[in-house]
Amino acid sequence: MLTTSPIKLINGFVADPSNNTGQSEIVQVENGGYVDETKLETSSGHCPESAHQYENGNGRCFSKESESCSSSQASSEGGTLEMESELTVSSQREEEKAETNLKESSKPKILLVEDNKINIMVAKSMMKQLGHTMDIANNGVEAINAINRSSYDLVLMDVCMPVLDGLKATRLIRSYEESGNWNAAIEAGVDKEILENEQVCVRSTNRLPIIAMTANTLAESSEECYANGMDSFISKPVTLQKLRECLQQYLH
Amino acid sequence: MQRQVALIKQSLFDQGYLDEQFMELEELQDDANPNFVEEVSALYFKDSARLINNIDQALERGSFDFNRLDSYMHQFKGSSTSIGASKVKAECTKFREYCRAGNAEGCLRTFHQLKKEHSTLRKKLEHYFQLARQAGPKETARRPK
Repeated sequence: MLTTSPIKLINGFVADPSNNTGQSEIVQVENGGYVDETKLETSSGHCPESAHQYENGNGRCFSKESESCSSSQASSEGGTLEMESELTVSSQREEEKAETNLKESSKPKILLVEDNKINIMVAKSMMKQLGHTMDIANNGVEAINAINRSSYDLVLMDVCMPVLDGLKATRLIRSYEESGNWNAAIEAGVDKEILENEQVCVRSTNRLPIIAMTANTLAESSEECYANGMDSFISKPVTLQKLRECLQQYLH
Repeated sequence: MQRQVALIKQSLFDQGYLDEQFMELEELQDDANPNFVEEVSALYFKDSARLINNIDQALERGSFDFNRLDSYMHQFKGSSTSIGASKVKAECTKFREYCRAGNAEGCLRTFHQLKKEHSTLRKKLEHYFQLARQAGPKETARRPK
């Protein structure tokens, strides 16, 4: 396996079908970033094959067999996903970002990091009921890229995800907060160029509240969550009440 | 008609097919999202059909990659938990236990049962949603204004 060409991940998110209000819910198209797969390990070992549908602003759809985890079985599948798609995703994202900044400068920015589509649909609907919209990242790498691009007020982090799990991603985010740089993330395999090119202009000095969404198994115990830098946790299944309490505690 | 719908729903809970998480979803239904539960349910069955297919193929190959199987089942259990599919969730848990024990036969047996429960739930929910639509929007639980 050649190590010279890193696997490129591009992830977008199709607007979910539950939104039939006619209002535009801000759904962020996230760039998954490059991953040097020789460096990146998934501690959780959960790497299911899944086919994602992606849509960029120009209306083209890609489907790809995802997962870049360190195990070579999944390695080559995402590799050829196109340069052009990243460029179009980027430019579309600039517009979206500008639009997002205009609309949402006063509202709290919340990031949901979750790979399960049903969980995303349910969580978004609950948040909507609580009066909030959320950006979505599908794995830890996307989460890091999103946090690098924007200042979030709250992150809801699923623990078990492919590519980079929630525990590891949180450790890397805390390292960034402490050191002011993403060296640890780059060392772990997150794409350097994307991190450096898209850094948010003003970095918040406040600690980013990161709340784990955990299935509460041994691997995802509350102790594990705290040990990796999470502030709190929500046990799955996520309910309206749990989210409400979380917002009350961590959003001011 | 509406009473019939209510009775069907109640029996789904009483017989353990659904748990309180399903009610959480119903709370999210309102005028703006009148069919939310049905839409989530549709997404669940579409997504879980894919997972079942993946697991079927993996099992057919004969080589039991327990890590991979467990990984699929983790997803399956997650979705099932989110919509309140109680019996399916229980089978997922059992399957994962057999995976961890490296028990191939247990996995096969449980998977067979899981598919049955999944199929039963799908039919029951389809029937329920169909009747609920016919009965009119008043029947599905609404969030108190």
